[in-house]
Amino acid sequence: MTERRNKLDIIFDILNSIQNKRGSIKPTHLLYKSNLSHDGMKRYLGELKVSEMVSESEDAKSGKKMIHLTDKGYKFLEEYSKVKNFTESFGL
Amino acid sequence: MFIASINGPQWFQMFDSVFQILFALVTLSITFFSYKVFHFTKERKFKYFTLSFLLMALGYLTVSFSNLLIYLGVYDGVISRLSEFNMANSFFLTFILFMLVGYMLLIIISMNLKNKRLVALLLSVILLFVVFSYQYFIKFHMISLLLLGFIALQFYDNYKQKRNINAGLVFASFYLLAFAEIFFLATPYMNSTYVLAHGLQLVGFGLLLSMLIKVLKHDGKKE
Repeated sequence: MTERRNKLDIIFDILNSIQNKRGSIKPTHLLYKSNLSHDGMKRYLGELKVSEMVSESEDAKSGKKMIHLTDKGYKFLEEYSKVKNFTESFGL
Repeated sequence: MFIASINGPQWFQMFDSVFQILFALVTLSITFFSYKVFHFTKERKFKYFTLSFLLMALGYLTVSFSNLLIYLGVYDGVISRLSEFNMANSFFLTFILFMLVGYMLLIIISMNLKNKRLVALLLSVILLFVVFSYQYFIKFHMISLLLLGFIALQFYDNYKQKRNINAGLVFASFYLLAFAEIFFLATPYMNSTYVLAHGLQLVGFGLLLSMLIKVLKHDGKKE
């Protein structure tokens, strides 16, 4: 059985999915990649927008929404990796 | 001199204090990063992990300060030999308390012990056994050997599971720190082992520092 993800792991998975798509992703792809329910993702995206780790834009022609990773989001990913490496080194 | 009898050969005096300051610096570095982890995750276990390394750092600073006061002759002509003995004893007891509580916290966090009564019992038994008895030096190093041995074992399990270089460095570091305690225990019989014990500790803390540098450089690749 896999371990249950905590809030930070979920945030990492969301931001990492965006980073893997060169910093911009469609909401439907993000929903699939981050392995969350629709409501769950909506809630997390709301929080990430408030904390300015992601931003949202709408294509003028197609009207499709895109989610973008901000500098703060990139910084979070960097810090998270260090924290993860440290805690895994001690098995915490 | 009181301390000289358990502090190894004469030529090593001062070196041990310098080593202890280095150990304090390494444990303080871990303390700072661990506090950053606590700040980032807001998880209570990292608060105790931070406290554990902070106590170790304070322990090393205390014993180093105490030894330096004697080596530099600060007490000479100021207080009596008996007061010097009592002063050194008080510092050594403070060092013991800091270190043992620090190790215990590390055991509690790394083994994920949740039962508060069990934790209180363990801590009480260890402190009573060491502090309210004679031969602090021997008993402190005996208990340290046991605690560090179990911590090393726990980190070995983690290394086996993760197969990660950093986890290996942490395990190797605590293995050496535990091994150093055996040489400390032999010090009353052969004082050159005091130097060997410090050498092993220096390598152990060096490995811990290299792990931290690798983490900060974001270089924790799998083997």
